Amino acid sequence: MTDKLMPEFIGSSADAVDLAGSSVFDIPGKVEVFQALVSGMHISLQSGELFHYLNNHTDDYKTELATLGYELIHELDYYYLQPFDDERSNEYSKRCLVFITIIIESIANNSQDLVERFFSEQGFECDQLPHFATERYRNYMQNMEVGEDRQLRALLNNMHRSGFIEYREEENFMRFLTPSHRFLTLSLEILEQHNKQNAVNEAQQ
Amino acid sequence: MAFRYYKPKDRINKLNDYFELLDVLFHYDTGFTETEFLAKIHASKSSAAPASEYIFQQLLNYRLIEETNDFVPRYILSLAYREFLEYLYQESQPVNSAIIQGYVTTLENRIHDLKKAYDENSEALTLRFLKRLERETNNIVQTSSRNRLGVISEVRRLKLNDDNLSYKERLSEANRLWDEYLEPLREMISPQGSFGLIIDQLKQILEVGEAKFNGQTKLRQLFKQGRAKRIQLNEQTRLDLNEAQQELMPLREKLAQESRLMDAAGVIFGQLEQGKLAELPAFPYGRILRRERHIGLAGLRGYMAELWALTTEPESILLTSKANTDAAPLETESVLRHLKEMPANSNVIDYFIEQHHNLTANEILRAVSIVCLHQQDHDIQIRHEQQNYQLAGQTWRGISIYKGEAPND
Repeated sequence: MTDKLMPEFIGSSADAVDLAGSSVFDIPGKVEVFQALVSGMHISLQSGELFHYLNNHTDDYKTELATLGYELIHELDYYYLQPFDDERSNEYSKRCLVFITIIIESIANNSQDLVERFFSEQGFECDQLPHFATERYRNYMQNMEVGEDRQLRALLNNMHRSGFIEYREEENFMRFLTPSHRFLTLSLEILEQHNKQNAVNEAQQ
Repeated sequence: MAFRYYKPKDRINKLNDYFELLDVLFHYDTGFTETEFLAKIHASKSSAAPASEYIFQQLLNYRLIEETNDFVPRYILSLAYREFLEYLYQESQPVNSAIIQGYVTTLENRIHDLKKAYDENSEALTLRFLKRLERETNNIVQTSSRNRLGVISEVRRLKLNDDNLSYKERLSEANRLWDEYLEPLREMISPQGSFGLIIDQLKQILEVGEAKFNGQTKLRQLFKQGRAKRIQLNEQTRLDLNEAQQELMPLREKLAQESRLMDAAGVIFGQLEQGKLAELPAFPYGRILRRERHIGLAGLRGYMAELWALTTEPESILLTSKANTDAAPLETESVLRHLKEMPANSNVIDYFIEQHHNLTANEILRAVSIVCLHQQDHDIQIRHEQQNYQLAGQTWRGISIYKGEAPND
C-alpha cells in the first residue's frame, strides 16, 4: 500500500503545502524521529542521527509536534515527548524509579561518587546488580512485580528501548544514559514534596 | 627538659638523619607512646646506629619531637617541623581564623607603634617598626597562601575519600571546612570586616608617615615598599580566599545535592515499605497515543500524509498488533470514490466507519489525510470542535470533517 500511495503523495505535494500552510514535509528525519518519540523513546546524544535531526531542527519539530498535541521537551542533552494536559503516571516509570533508586543507594553505600559512578561509561555488570542481592531490595523489586531475573532483564530491555540505558545482554553490560536523569530529578521532587508535607503536618500540630 | 641551643644547620642535619622516622610521625599526627616510638626507632635504625633510647633523647633535645599532655604521654612531630614538612609536601592545613585574627591584632599594634614613633618624630623607631611591619605582612601573606593550600588539600582528600566516609560524613566535613575556615575569613576580609578595616588604617598610616619623613631616603623607600606590600597583602588574601572557595564550593554543592538523593531514596523506600506504592509519584510515559486513544486531528493536514511513507506504523497508533496489509480498505482511490459517493452534509469519518468495519485508527488517519489533500475538489469542511468516534470498541476523539455544510447543532 505504501508503494502505491507514495506517487500520489508526491503528485499532490503542491496541494499538501498549500493545505499545511508551511513546508511541513521537509524536516529531515521526520519519519524516524516521529516513530521513536511516539514509541516513548528518549533521544539523546547516544541516539546518533536521530539526535542530530532533532537537535538541528528543534523548533520545526516542536511546532510540528505541538499541532499533534505533544510537547517536545528538551532537557540537558536529550529530547522526549510529553502529551499536553496529562499528568498521569504509569507503573513502568515507577519500576524505573525504584530500579534506579536502588542503584543510587548501593553506590552511596560503597562510598563511591554518586553521580559520577551512576553515569560512568564503565557501566554495570548485569549479574552483579544489587537488586536481588539483599532481602530488602528483593522486596522492593517484588513490590514492583519484578521478582525474578527474567523480569529484571525485561525491565532492562524496556529501559533500553526508552533510551534510559544502554543494555547489551550478551555482554552482561548496562550503563545509564543521560535521560535517566529524569528519575534523579523526580526523586528530588518526591523528597521536596515529602518535606513540604512534613512541614505542614508539624505546623498543624 | 633543659634548654639547649643548636645551630640551624645542625638541626637540619638531624632532621635529615632521621627523616624516614620523622616522616612516619608526620603522617601519623596522633603520635606514639614512648614504647611504640622506641619500637619504631629500633625497627628503622641500622645495626651500627646508637641505642634507640639515645636516638629518642636526641630527637627530644633537638626538639624535633615533643611530648603531649596526655595521661600517657605521646610523642608527636614538633609544630615547626610539621609546618615545614607541610610546606615541603604542599599539604598545608587550613589556618584557623583565630590565627588570622591574631595577625590583625599584630597589625593593629604595629599601626599604634608607628603612630607613636611619628609623634615622637623618631626616625629610628619608625625604621624599626616599618621593618617589623614588612616581616609581619609577609607572614600574613604566607599564612593566607597556606590556608588556601590547606583547604585545597582537604578538598582533595574529601574527593578521593580514602577514609571511606559516607555521603553525610563527607558533606558534614565539607560544611565544617566552610564554617571553620572560609566563612570567618570571608567576613574578616570583607571591606567592613576587621581585616578590611585594618588594611585601610594601614594605608592611612603609611601615607602619613611617607609625607612626614619625605626627606629621609631610606624611610621613603621603606614606606613605598610598605604600601606595595599592603596592596599585595590585600590582593593576595582575597585571591587565596576566592581560590579556596572555588575549590570547596562545587564539592560542597555536589555533596549536598547527592546527599539529597540519598534522602530521597529513604523517602521512596519508606513509601514502598508502608505499602504506598500507588502514592509514589512518577511521570506520564510510554506509548502515548495508544494509552490515551486521542487522535489530534487538528494538526493532521499535511503532517499525517507523511505517515504514508512509514514502512512500519508506529506501534503507538496501532490498536491491534495486526500487521498492515495491502488489503487495507482505505487506499487513495477508494477514499476518493467514497468522497464522490457519500451524500452531501455527511460526516466523513462516520461514513468511512459505516462503510468499513474494524478500521484501525491508523487507517482512519491515513484516510483523513487523503481527504485533506483533496478537500478543494470535494467541498470538504473541517470543524475543529472535537467529537467521539468508536473504533474497535474504543472511543477516540478527533475533529469533525464534513462533505459540504455541516448540519447545525
